[in-house]
Amino acid sequence: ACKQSMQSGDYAGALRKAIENPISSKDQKVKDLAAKNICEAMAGVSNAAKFIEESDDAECDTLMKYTFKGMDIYRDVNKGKNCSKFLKWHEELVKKCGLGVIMRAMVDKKC
Amino acid sequence: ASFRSKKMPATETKPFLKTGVTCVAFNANKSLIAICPNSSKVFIYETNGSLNSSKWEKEPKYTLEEHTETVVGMDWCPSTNLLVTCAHDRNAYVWKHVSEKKVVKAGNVSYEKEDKWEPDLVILRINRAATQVKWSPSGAKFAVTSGSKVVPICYYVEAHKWWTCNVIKKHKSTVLDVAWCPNSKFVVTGSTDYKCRIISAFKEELDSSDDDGFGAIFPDQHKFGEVLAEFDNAKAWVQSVAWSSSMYRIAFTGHGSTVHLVQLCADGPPAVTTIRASGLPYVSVEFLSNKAVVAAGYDQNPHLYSASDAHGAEPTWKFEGNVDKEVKKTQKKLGAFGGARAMFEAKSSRSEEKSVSNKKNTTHQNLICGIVPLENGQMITYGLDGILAHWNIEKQGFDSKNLLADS
Repeated sequence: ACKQSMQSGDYAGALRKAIENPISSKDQKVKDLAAKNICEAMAGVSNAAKFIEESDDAECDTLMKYTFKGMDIYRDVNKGKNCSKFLKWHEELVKKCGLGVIMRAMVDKKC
Repeated sequence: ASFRSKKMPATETKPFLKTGVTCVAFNANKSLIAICPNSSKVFIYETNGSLNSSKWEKEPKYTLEEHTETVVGMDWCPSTNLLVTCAHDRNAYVWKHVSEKKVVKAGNVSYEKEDKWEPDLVILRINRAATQVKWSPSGAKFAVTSGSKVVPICYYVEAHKWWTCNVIKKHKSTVLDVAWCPNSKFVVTGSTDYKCRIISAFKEELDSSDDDGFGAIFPDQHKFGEVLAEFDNAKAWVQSVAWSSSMYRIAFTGHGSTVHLVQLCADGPPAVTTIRASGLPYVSVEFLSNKAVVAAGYDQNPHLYSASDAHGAEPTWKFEGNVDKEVKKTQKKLGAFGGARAMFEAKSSRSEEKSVSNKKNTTHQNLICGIVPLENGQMITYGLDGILAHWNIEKQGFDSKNLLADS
């Protein structure tokens, strides 16, 4: 379902659906696939600030976790030029939720 | 020597010690305060009846030296006047104030005046450092948390004249903090295995077998060492725990900058409210009343949380505000020469380009290690900057009448 939304250009909608129920599987492959989808959606969303405004605290925590994951995944792609999108996500999330959201992203292992 | 303004800010912000203060305990009438300056020694100072650290005696009245490693936990029992300390050296000592000594000379017994504290070693049987120690409200037992994943509950055996213990296991990793239920039967512990647990510490000879209303909630309440409830909401180290005086509310903080408030319910499982804080994690949490919880830590500013009611079964908790209003400290105006001097000083000591320092406007300039709750919405916070600051939530602009009310 997420893939369909993304292909139609609706990255925000895809992301919203994806983070609704955060993956809690122990299988690394499932987690990697989920991370790839979510980070693709995050890289595609044009207005991160607006998306975050509409997210509640739990969703912000999930977004921050995938921001770090996204920076990791896109590190080698295009010499890291895509990372600027994730830096923007990081900045906007901290603006809304403060430093606490970074703490929660670092501390929670289930990404 | 640094360039300092002649007009000192409020006297309370002056550090009491040059080193950090990691443990603090008052005696029953607050005439003495025991302080550990992040070392293996404990110093007891006279407060001269004041809660303002600038009015305390500068030299300690007693020095308690027995531990060989850093003292990390300290508690002073108001009913028995015994001080218990625990340290990284895997030991705990119970200190007793001795005021007279029996002297036997040539068959005559006389009493000589004495004024010192004598340590009594406690058999803890742990093979890792201790992390915290708390007396039970009855004063008959104390709990020691340790890196050995166990919590010894210690009590005095009159026949052998020593302190021994029964050990609570059940933890999968280091236990960081403990708090007693007001009925002295249960403890709540916080551990690095990400869980907060309520465990029975019931000892038949020392505790009453009354139900206290917990019979319906915890059927195993009188079984020592039994885990009565477990909370994994923190998803991170549980660094501090607290139990309210009403017996049915518990607070614990997680290292993910979260604070969790538990309501024990008679007719169902405990309800947990999770609040995500926007700052850095808390390392200390205390109840000021059933409705007001204060938490402090790396933000250097105590935060107040309040509930909608004092005894209800479904309270709504919310962040009430920062206790420290961060009033900007007045900076002395610098002339041309003074400005150049300040810039050079900033460059050489802090490698900063600007002459105006980025010092935070909070009273505390470093981690707040702990909170001592006092009556009527007052508390003392102490931290690694050596400052012991006294706060009154009414003076800080909060509706203390509502927050301290019993309804």
